Amino acid sequence: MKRRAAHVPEAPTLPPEPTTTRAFDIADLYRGPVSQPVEADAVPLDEKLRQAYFWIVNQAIISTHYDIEYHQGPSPSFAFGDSKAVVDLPSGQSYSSFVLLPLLTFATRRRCLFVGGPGRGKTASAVLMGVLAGYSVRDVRRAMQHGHPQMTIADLLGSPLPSDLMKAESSEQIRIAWRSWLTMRVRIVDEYNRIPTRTQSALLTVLGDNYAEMFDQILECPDAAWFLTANDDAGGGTYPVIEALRDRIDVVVQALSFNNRFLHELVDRVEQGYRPEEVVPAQLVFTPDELDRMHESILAVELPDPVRRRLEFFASQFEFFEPAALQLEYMTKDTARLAGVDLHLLSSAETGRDRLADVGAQTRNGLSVRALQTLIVYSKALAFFRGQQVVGLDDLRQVLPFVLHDKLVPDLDAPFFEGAGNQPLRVDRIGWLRRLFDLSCAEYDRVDLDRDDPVGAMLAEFAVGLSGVTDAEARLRLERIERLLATWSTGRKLYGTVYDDILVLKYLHQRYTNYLAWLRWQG
Amino acid sequence: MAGLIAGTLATHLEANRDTINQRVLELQRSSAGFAPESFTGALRELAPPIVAAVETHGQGFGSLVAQSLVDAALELSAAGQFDGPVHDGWSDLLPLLGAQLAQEPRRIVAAVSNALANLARSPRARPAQWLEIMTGLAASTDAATFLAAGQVAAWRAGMAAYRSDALEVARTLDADVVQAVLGATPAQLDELATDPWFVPRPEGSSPEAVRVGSFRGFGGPFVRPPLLALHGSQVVAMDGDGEWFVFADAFGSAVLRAGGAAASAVSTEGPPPVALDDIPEILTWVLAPGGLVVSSALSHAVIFTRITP
Repeated sequence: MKRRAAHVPEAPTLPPEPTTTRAFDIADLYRGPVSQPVEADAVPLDEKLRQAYFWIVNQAIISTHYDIEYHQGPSPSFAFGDSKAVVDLPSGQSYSSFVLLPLLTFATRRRCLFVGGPGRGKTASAVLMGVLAGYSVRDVRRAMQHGHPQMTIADLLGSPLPSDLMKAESSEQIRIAWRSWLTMRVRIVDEYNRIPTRTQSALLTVLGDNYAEMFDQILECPDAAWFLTANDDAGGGTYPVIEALRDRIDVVVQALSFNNRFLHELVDRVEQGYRPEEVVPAQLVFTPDELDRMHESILAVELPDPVRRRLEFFASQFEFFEPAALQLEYMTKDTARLAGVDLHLLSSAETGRDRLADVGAQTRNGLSVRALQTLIVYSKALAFFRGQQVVGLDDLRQVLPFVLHDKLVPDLDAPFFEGAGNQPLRVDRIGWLRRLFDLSCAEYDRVDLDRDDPVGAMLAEFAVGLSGVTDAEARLRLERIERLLATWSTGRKLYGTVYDDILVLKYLHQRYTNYLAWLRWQG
Repeated sequence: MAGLIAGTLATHLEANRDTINQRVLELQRSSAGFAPESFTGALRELAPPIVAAVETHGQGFGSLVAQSLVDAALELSAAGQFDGPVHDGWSDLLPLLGAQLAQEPRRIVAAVSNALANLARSPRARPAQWLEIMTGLAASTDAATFLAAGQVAAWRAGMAAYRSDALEVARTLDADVVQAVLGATPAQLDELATDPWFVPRPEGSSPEAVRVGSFRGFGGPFVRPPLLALHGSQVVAMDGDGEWFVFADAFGSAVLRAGGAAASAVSTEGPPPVALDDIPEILTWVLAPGGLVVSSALSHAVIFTRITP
């Protein structure tokens, strides 16, 4: 069994579609039942990442929860129980989020929070990521920060040298013995919600800005993948997690339960006396250079316009909150939040808007720029992992719930959650976010924005540049903006998507107005 | 004493006894076709002369080759392919490759085994001819040259699909190696490239027509007489159930599945530009680099002729 755990999934882990241009290759002569030696550069990095995924999911963590589903053609579907829970058998290669999202975090050097009850493999997964980065199990375990109520900033960051404390005449002269984990490429903080608030602030600086500070001394830390764990992320920790720290976490992954049909694997491990992290095959370990190249490759994956437009459309629906202000720019949920006024108190003044159809009515906040950037990075990472050069809508749809898990706060009193079959979505945050995105895409299709997007056309026209645009042309564009706004203003209810477009039109109007003034000044 | 393993191989097996036993147990559990007697037979009879041949090239090589042989023997036994030409390759060719094995133990063992397994699977290929050619090259090549020559020899031994790739590889080889494999001078490679029916050896000659493929009920690929088309310069045959690339030249022929090649293939109908009295009821024809290729309503074969209009 221990030997079997060292088995690396054979490439290709995601066989490409058969091509018609070349059905034969002379190199095939030497491929067959006997495997050829693998050269270090022979395995593409996305293939290596998939091999690591399949090794973890089949040999180490043993996750049977294939909740990130891809379909290529028809997929059989079955319904079970009183709730008619639907089970799809995906026809495409599908994945377990509990293993996949941490791997994508590892590849993109972002920050992942594992949540779930004790003994579900949260810490083991985090340690595996450290081993994949080339550290020994012993080094990873020693470097792991264990949150506890007495944890001090010195415990977290390091200590000033005692001799310097005695001799120094200014704080700059005090040297710090920094903790070694700060310079590692994988950093693990176990049970982060047990760390005292003041120490959390120090952690925030390292986690958010990649440097540590003590006695006026600064330690610049290299880019790293962060893995944090929490037994109970809903406020059950010893200390409440400060909002800024929570906001810096890029994805939240829930550790699902062990499938007891695989108990024999545990029996083998007990009898053989080993842990999966101790037998990670050497072929799966990434060198620092490979990690750098993989990161560059992920960022180079293209996010095509049609996918980006759907993300724009989705994101535009949450911040707008008409009763919060009289001036358009301040009609946001953030205005109400800053004023400390409950949204429901203000929304009682709303009339006529369909709060059931408006997906913006389901949340208590909007999306931050940080959250959107994270969505873009993880979408690219998932496309890269699947061997794609371009992000697909499915890639965005699959990562979205895990990225927005703690970013988009549901308004549990919204009419949507009273709807038939929607009650479980009050607690199933992943399911709710996925439904939210699906509803947004359905609305996007209904208004046919792929083919009829006047604001998009105006932005594209403006993006070409103002050089050479004549006075008459600029006036024509201004007129078109005013005409569109006039059309929209007649009897149309304000929704988030329209709100964003109105602000864009106002922005464009202002740019053309300024341009006209400049043209007049030039004579 | 027959069947007694000694020397470096014995030392290697003794040192790795637990690991090898464990792998055998795993293969017995996971691979339905695994035959332990095939594996032990290979270790007793085939591996010792190979390890001994390598040891003449220096201390320490034997153990590396022993490891490669054990791994390959396990994989071949699990795949049920340790017989026929593969067995011949281990008994007749590998013991002659001491120098090449000392350079690239794992790669050479895998290449020889896989090449012979692939030749054995190809209906019209001649594994014995490949073995003969490669045996002739054993004493005069290094590992890289041996592997490159093996690819060209596969074409020479009937794997016609490798034609264009093999010609490219042949141009990188020394003249004496090209002569040993193809019986051609480097200057004749151009002639081989332009005329698929050119035979370099003086005594050689190509038939006037070659029939490739047959009815699926008799072990061929086609369920009905195929229609022909060209995909680039490549002949594509379609029988309504699938599409195949069909290859034929002076060295051999092959039929390989082509996926959706027919979508971009150029089909031809009507009477051929030259009368072919010997072939009745012609269905379709294409003009390929070697001549006219036709299919008939009365045959499941694709007929390659040397006739050019």
